[in-house]
Amino acid sequence: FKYCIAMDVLLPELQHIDLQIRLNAVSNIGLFAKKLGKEETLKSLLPALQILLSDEDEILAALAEQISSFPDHIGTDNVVPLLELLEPLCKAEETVVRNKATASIEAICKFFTDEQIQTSFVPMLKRLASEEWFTPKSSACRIFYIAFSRSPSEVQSDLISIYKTLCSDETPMVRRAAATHLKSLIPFAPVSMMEEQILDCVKSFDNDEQDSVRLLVVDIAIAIAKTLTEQNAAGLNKSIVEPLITACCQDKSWRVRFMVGTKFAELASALGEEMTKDVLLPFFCGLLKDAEAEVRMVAAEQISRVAELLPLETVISEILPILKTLSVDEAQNVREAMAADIMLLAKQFGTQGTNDHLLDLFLHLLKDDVAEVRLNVIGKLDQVTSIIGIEHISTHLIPAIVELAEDQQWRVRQAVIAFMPRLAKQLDIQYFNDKLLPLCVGWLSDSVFRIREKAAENLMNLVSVLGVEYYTLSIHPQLSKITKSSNYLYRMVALFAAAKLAPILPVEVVKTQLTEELVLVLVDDVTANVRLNVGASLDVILPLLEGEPEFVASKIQPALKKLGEDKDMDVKAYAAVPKVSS
Amino acid sequence: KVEMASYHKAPPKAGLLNKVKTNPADILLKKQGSALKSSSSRFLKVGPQEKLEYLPKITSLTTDEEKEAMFIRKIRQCCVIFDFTDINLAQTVPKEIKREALLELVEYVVNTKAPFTPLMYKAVIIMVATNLFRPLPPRLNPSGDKFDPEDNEPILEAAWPHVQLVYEFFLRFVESNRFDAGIAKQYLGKKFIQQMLDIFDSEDPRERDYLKTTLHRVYGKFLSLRNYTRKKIQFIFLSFCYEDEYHNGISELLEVLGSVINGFALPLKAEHVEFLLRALVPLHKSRALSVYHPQLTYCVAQFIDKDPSLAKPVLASLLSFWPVTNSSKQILFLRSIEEILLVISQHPFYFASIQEIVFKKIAECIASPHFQVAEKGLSIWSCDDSDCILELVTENVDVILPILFPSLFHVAKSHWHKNIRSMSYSILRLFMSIDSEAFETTIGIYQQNRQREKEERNERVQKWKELITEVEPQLLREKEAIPDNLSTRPSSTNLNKAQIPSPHLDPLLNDNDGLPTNIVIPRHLGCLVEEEFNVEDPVFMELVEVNQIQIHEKLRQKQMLPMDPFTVEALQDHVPLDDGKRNLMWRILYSWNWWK
Repeated sequence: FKYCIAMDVLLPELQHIDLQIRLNAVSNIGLFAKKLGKEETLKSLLPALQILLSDEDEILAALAEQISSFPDHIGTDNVVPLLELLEPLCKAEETVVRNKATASIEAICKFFTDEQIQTSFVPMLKRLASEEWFTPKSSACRIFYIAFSRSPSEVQSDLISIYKTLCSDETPMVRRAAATHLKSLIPFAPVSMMEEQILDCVKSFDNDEQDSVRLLVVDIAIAIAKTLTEQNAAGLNKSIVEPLITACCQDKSWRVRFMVGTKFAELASALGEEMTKDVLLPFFCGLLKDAEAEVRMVAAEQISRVAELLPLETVISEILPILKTLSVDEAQNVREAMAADIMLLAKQFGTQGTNDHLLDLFLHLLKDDVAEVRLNVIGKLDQVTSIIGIEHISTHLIPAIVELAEDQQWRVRQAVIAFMPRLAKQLDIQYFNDKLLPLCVGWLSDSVFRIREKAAENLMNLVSVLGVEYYTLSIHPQLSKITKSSNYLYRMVALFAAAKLAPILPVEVVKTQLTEELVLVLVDDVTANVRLNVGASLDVILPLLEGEPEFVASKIQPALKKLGEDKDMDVKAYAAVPKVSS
Repeated sequence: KVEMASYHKAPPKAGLLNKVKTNPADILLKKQGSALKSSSSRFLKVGPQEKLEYLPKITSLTTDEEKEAMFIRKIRQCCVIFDFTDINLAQTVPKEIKREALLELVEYVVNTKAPFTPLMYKAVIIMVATNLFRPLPPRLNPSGDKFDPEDNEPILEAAWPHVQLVYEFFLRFVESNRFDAGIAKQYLGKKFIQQMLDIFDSEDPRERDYLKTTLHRVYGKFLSLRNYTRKKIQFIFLSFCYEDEYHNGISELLEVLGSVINGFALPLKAEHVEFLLRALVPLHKSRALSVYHPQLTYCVAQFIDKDPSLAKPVLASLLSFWPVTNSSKQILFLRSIEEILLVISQHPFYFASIQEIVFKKIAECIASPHFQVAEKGLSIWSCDDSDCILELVTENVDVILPILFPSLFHVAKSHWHKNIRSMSYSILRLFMSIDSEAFETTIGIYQQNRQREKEERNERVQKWKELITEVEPQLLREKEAIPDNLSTRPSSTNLNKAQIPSPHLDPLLNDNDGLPTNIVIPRHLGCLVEEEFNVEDPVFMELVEVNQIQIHEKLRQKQMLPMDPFTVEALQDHVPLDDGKRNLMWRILYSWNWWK
């Protein structure tokens, strides 16, 4: 009788007037199923759920989602009845409901036998595909691949002819769905079908009046190219894929060209080096010179990945001249995109090629009016320094960097700072100290907090690259000078730096140089904010000095005690934080 | 013979133009020169580049054949497309030749009595298609947020000096009494309509204004294309609703539809009803509803006025789209409801079928903590021009009062906003005066119902607990006490992260009667006032003093972002086509040298 009780509770809940109460019941339907057991769930609960099918979207969405977990409740060998609930949900108006229903279908179809696919799933799919309204047809497109991938070849050709009618449906929504999901059929189609039926489907999109349909051809072309290559029929790419791509690249709608632009690298790698050079290169150059800035921008993002597939001399003769025009493009987005990408070309160009062809471009972009462009170059500069070679760095790049160190945009300065440790590693220390150390020190008294903070962090990175001795000799004198600065904001920087540096320096240095000469000298500072940060820095330093109880007792504890009696409330609070282990 | 009262409001005007015209003071101007935008339509295939030269005037020729030939030569000249983004001085003269040719063609179409020949139709339609049907430029921000016409400045069409004249010419051509749709339809077919609908997505409000009028005229003249046009508009709406929510011309299309619906014959055909329920009403779902809400409501109201039995399905679907978390959309929905009730007040027979679902929702809105929603809910039957709704409410007070009373009482007693409390109270007084007997009955059952609801809730919680204890006891949770050692550290720290109490420790988030979070047993009814209603309650006395609150006619709209002075000027210069001032504008255009 236990099912009776559960169903007695459930049924009124499912029909309750308050949406929230129905929702509770639907989204916890698993609890009821568990109580009822497999058999009763199948016999009483599933039919009862039918009453929900005319409910509001929110309930439908919850139901569609719950069904995917039903195989757990009713056993994986008996999932076919679930289609009865999912089929009406595939026809719902609301997109969310349909998406969840089709996702659930994908989930439960794993448990279908091939025979069940033929006897239950395929007939349902055909029903959906022959409905009048657009929603069932769109849903059918999405789950079509399930039937297609698991059917024998004679059924496959039957199915593909149904799909073809969907592809030329009157409603643009169905055509878009058909175009979007055609790529999921392609991997399962034999080569002979690809040449005929599949190509017919694509051709109907190719001439579509809606650019939102035409632009989906790009993805389909990529899928075809990949599949043909896998099936060792790459030779067909020329006759099948090339005309599709040609049409997309020459489309009058910028959206379609934009789509080709965003996928160009993927397309090129799917078609292979030879086709890239012979067929795609002129199109790619065309996109880089497109009338629409948006198209140029997305194409510019692909340059390095496309160039990899081309011989270097072709890149130099065909693409390089365009790069020069792009570097002075009127749209800043285009320059930004290319600035971020061409740095990656250096690898392909090698030391000589980079210095001959690219370095000028880099230097030019470093002087761009727009901060983002400069930023994108500096951000990727570390990837080219090892290629450019030390000699060119010092003669060409360093002057540019020194100039950017005082850039008006703090984000640019921040990018330059991030680049410093890398340079320190490559450059001669003497040279670094002469040219760049003054910059590193200068940033400690920048007018922007973020830069001062980063500058302190930078010191830590420099020391971890250059060693403890470098700290004692070059950095420490500078920091201790800052503790005497007249501006409390700068004095605080010394404390930040001490906290950052403490973990990577040996105890002896932490004791004398950091704690005594940087932190403790500021205990009596006039500004409360500085005293507060003394407490905060000691919180970091204290755990590192566990082996030195004498030092802690004689130096740090008195300082903390003093801060604990401060007249400022916040200073007191921070002084209470560091816990001295006894 | 009973004449049906018809929906008599004036159709609302679509688009940004309206806003620029009506409240120029609301528009903030950007500093000059800050607008860095490329305003260009695409001149990808710059048509047949024949060299333009001045031709003799059509009227200077004598025979009809010569006139026809010259007309067509001039039309051909107008097929040459110029790139207006390219400031090439060599183009100045040919551009002017094209402009003058267009002006002359307009004048010829208006003033000459000679009929149009088939060759002329063909040439005109090709010329219009060449000039107008072009790929639209990228939107302002194609990869980021969706384009919001409320917030963003439109991209103006660069070639407007020519494009406007082409629209003007085509309108006059179609409007001319010598225009014969029978001949024209050989050249103007489905493709033309499709392309025309495509450019409704244009960001230039002036262009959409012309398109709106043009589409209206074409729809009027070409009977055989009407069905097709409606279907294509339906596809646009459905794509907008269910796919990308991304279209600039929805309000203009709705405005055209408004007058189309007006012309539907009774009884309504099934396809029209389907259009209403499956394409129009779902438009309420969109995030950008405020952009086209007046036009949409107008269309829906027209339908219901034609067939009041549609009110029920429309309201049912509207209520199922209720924007639970978006209060400004809730106000718009309440306006739609108000509008529908106004129509229904002309057909009181149908009120009974909708009163329950509608007033339940209104009761919910009255109890909203958002004061504008509550205000709108409270004012639905008491604003000046809707006495007719109050009449309906009065007639059905025995059904409506029990639905509204709990909310009204609760709000009058404990809403945070004093004006809302006062409004509620005065509405309670109003109901008392309408029917004191019904009021007494309602008070009588009120407390009983509260008690019953409370019991039902407890019972429900208990049942869930039993079920969960039996099946998955680990889902049940104990109430957790607030830990008293929550960090008291100051949070202004650069080095130490303040300790944030983890959410599972927060009893406010956690206490769900011990049930898992995905089971929420509503308690809104439980928190309503439990004591007895007493008009003389001292709590109410202070409310009598509060002046009746001003009802906000206008939804407080988002402040527009600063606009480029050039754009504002261009929009203000544009005379909306239905202003009756077109001839005046025409004279201005004629004497206006655009390059200066």
